Amino acid sequence: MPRTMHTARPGGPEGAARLDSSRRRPRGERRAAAHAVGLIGAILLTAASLQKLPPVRDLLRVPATPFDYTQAGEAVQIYLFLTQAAPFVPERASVSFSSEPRDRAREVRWKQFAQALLIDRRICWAPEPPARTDVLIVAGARPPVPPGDLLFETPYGSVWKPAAR
Amino acid sequence: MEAGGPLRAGHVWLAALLLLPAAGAPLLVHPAFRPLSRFCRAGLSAGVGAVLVSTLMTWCAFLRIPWSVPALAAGAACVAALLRFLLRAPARDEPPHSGRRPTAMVALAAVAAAAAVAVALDATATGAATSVDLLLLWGPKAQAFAAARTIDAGFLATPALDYMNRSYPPLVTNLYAFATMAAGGLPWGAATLCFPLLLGALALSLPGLLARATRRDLAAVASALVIAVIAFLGVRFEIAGNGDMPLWIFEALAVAALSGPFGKDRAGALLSGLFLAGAATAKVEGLPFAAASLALYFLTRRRRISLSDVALLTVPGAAALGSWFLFGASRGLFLGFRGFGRPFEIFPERLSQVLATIGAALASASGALPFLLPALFLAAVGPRRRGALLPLGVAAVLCGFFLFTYLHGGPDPKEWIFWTAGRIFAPVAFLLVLSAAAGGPPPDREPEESLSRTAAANDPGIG
Repeated sequence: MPRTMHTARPGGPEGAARLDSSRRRPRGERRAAAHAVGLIGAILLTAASLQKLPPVRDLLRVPATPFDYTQAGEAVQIYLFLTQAAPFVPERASVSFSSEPRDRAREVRWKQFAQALLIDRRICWAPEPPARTDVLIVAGARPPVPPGDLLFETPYGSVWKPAAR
Repeated sequence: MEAGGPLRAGHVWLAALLLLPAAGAPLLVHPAFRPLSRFCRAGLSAGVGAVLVSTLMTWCAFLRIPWSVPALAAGAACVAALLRFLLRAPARDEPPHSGRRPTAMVALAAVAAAAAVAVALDATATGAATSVDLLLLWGPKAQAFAAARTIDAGFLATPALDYMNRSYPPLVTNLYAFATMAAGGLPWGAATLCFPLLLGALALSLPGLLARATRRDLAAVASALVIAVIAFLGVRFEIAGNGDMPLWIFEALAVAALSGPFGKDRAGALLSGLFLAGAATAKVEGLPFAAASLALYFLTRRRRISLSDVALLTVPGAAALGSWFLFGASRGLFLGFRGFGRPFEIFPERLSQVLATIGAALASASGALPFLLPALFLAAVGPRRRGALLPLGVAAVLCGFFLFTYLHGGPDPKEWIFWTAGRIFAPVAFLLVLSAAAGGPPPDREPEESLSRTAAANDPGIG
């Protein structure tokens, strides 16, 4: 039987299509709303992430340390110092740590970083620097009494070859 | 290292990680995965390769076999090829991925996801997202393991290094060691780039997986929101280089595979099993996640569960984590994950303080936006299918588990909670999005199917 256009009847195909269409409209609107919420949410979050980026002039700059713009406290200074000091600490050397003024927690943090950055050296974990190690690293200011021969120094710390006793 | 040395080492380190998708590819080229796009399969190959390489490395360490990069990559590829025998060929009416042109919504969502990945990449590359834990534990362990060409039990047993959590699962340190052996050193900047690279891999693979569970447009939008949530939380809480991003990618992919119809067949079950193994061996909190996912999967699937389903979902995790615990026990290092005190030695009187601190920690992330927006999305989709239950249930279990964990610990857990809550609750945010996708409208029909149905409807001689 050929298809012909005729007046819509409630039980006919056109009537069923109109009814289905009216049911679909709320579903279509709901779908559009969900898509909008998802997309706008993604854009909002990405925009909010921009707050954490460095200033525009530094966006393409290679950082001096992996922590340049983090909230990791002294991490930048420790990383910079230890990577600069590494050539002055021979391989397989024993390394002890002190600080000026003395701060045990700070010394522990420096030792933890040294464990990563001064590989192939022996980090001495004793709370007090042992009587004799190959190298002594002092975090902070230069000690009032030099503990030995100065090998390297920056404003953040110094590296010493302890004097023989 | 001489000038130019660190840059070359970084390139080699990252290039070594390309062996991971190569190792996983023999499995993903099986016809059972043909309905997924090439991009999706490429991303999934990386995850599969990572799990196989890491598991092999742990078994070699247990059996005292020294690591070799080429042997590990080849071995993992062989295992991936053998796993193909567990899969059936797809049914004839399962069409391959049709490569249809993306709709405007899919294109917009892809741009939004790409923007989020780009921001994460720039934040990482400029030193704004690095985790201190990279230098405190992940990196030093990887360096020691690479130098020893095995998991160095002597290093882990050193009392002074107890802060490195010797029982922490091995996937991240194994893979870092793998790349470090190839490059001859661990370039810190390259290690941090794992965060945006894994985010990019997730952006490639998630839309294809979700499109098996829901309409393409919704799958694309949901994926973009997941990527943006992870990018925001990763940058805000400085996770680059630590174990969080590997954990999150495995969790997202495992739940995406499990929640939809894809999880009902062997290919989906095997993929989910491998990614659950990845989650369980990436970080400690991956284990309760995997356990909750499996339990809820079996509860929500009312059909009869076959032994093969159980095996495909659980054996990869058992092999991966079991090898780690065997190693620890055999070397006298640990018998399980180190906890925070005795299991039920909790302080319920701290509940209000703990809840308040968790709330403050989450709110510090732009007013908890990365948690509120997924909840809003879930409400907007209004999921009606059973697939929504698994991600929602896992999210609820994780919340309970983390709260239970925080009720242990010292007299003032505030600092601990503030340092960790934003990261460990992150999966809850993207699980809400995945719940919306899995519970939303059913997937699109393929155009060939749609056309044939239209032809049948129009032809009075048919049907």
